[in-house]
Amino acid sequence: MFDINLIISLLEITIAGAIINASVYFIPVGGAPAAMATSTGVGTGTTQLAAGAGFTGLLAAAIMASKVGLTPEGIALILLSGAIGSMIMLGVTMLIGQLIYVFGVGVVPAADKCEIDPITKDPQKPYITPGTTGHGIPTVCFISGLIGATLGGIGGGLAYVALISLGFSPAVAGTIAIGFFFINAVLASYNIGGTIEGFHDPKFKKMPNGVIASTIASFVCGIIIILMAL
Amino acid sequence: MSHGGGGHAAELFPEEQIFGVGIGLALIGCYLSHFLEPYGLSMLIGGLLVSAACVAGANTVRKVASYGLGTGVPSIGMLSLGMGTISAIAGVLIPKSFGLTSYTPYIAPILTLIISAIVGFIVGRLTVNPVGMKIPIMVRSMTFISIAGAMALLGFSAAYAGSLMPNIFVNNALNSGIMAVAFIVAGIAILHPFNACLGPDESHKRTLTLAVACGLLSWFIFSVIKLDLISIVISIVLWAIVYLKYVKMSFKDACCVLHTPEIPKKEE
Amino acid sequence: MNELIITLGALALSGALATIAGCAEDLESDVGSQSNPNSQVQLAPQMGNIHRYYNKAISGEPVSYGLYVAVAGGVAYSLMNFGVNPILSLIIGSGVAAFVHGAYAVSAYLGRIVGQSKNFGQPVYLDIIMSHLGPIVGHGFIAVFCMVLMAYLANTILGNPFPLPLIALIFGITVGSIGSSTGDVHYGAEREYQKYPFGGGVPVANHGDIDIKAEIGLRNSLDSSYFCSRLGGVLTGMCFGLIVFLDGWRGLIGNIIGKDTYTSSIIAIVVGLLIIAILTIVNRKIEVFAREKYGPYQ
Repeated sequence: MFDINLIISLLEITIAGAIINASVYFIPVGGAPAAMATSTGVGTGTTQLAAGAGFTGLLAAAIMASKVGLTPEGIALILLSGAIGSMIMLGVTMLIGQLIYVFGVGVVPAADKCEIDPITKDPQKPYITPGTTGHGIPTVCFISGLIGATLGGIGGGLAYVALISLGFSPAVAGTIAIGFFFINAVLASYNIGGTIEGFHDPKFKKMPNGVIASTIASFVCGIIIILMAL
Repeated sequence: MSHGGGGHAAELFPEEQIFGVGIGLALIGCYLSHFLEPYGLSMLIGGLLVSAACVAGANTVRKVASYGLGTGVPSIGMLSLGMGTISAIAGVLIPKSFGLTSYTPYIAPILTLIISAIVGFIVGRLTVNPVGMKIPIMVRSMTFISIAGAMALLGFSAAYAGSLMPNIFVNNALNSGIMAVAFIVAGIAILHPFNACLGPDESHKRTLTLAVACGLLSWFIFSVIKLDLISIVISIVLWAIVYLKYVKMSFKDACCVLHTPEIPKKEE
Repeated sequence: MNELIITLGALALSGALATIAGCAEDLESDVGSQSNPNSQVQLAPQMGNIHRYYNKAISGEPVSYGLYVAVAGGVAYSLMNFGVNPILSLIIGSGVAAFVHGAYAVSAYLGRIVGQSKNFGQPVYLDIIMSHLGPIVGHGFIAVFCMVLMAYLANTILGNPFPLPLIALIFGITVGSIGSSTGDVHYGAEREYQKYPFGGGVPVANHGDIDIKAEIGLRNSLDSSYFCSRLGGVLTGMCFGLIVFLDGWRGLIGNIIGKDTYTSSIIAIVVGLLIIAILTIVNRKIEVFAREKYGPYQ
């Protein structure tokens, strides 16, 4: 009944939850204000965008898992596929969002939470419309979003790998992974409370709280999942 | 006037009462879904009773979300169902792990209730302490919506699968992906009523009527998925009655109902 | 080789379906004024703007599209098991989803409008419900049918291990999150605030001051879909089509070049990284273009 593999799966689930939670902080979301070009980032809610990217990654990971086995190399490929899947999803979404900001709304991408873009060294403040907190998706937010998508894909993929290696069928593992993803993403979004621009945002410092919460919640979920699989 | 900052919404019935009745009915519904399957009544009776869990959940969402969550109302519905998924599957599969497979139908609903309460309580605590939500009733509400989500999920899945035995349940409800449908259908039924009705003139009566309509609509969806003709007809009729009542109530509560493109004159 | 061609065809069809689905999804959310820009429609009466917009606050787009597509997938799945022809099952499934969509759309409009009716004098417009419900449900049906057909292709031909309803749910959530993060910006930042000059974000002070007058008469939400179909809707469609196509295409490239599963998977991952690098560069180019063309805010 007591098995080292169960401990490994429990650890995997716990880490997966923490990674999923951390991923949300990287994704630049402006919430409802961004849909009016009033704040920097993608114009939708934190949880929903993270879920969209994470589930694309989950699908990619699941397809890969059905091709390769659960050997160490196989697991690496599954996680990488998940990461690439969500990066493509989020990358294309941010790019098209950017097109609409630039050509549909006519604003210059500008971040509010930093004076100069830490990656391109472009000044940001003069380009911001007065009365708003930035708009569009400048390079720093784009890169931050890609990092977030990578983490989200890896987290979703890791949870899926753990569930599959516990002997669940893909359908059961997928259903549990979706529920699990939502718990962790919503915890992060409650901690963020609305909008975040990426890793340069002061709100990013709140991340440890969210990650701790997610680690505990995932550990509890992990124990329940292990009990199911005994 | 400013809504979303007080949690002062007036109540027709106390929250505990609605919650207790809703979850009690849903619990009975879960059992009946299993035991009435030989008579072909599991969707008809089980589904109807389980939709009460959606009403209970929607009522709790109304209470907690009127404090203002800092992000959309939908997030709490998804959180509720996220916790519910794990609890519902655990309720069915854990008895098997301890060699109690043949007793699963008796244990599963209660076990789901207990596990979802534990998970909801822990996640609720976490949202208060490290995460820092400032809502006083957060822990209680999280526990409640976790239970409501889990019971709705288990109930609808069981009514579709027609059994709580682990192998049949997993095969019929999980491997077919129907539980994913239950996830989102119950989720919307729980979060929609308050999300739709919020505002300074929100009234408990209207929200609750809509919650009942949403619960019945969820039941209708599962009747269609199960291709159970009697349930389809009865659920759509009941839904139409409650829904029309909601529409009439809305017309009555509105300041005016217009049929033409005109803007009423301001009385200054 | 034969199998490869069928996979390629299914992938191309999926990409095309995704493009249509994305476009229809975005236009539907513009007619119904769903998702984030809806906050302004909600705010307008409090700022003294009595409006004739639809107010479809079912929930966020990802969740509501998850619902429609999952319902369609679930119904189609059980009909197929019952022995009904797959395409017919998918159509019936989408029909049930459209019914559910309509029911929630009306209750959302009534709930949100009546929720602030007495305090701010916002009337319920019955003609708005009657005239908008058709386009909402119709656009929704197109989007849902395309999505559920995609899910069916992914399930039967493209080797996805999940069952149909689960794939449908995931695709629905994805299309919703794409639609609300791309096309809705055009509606929220431009269409609702057309009276303000082009080329700037909407300051917080102007929130809720949406356009209530149309080119002729009072504006309703049907006009918005016409406006947004010129940029927002098309780009949303392109966005989702690109995601589906690029993600599937990199796997296919791997299958053609690679000898065994491992090399083909690695090639797929490398191609994916290349795509992401290109996306980043293009994004930077657009940013530089905007900075040089528009210059600092004046």
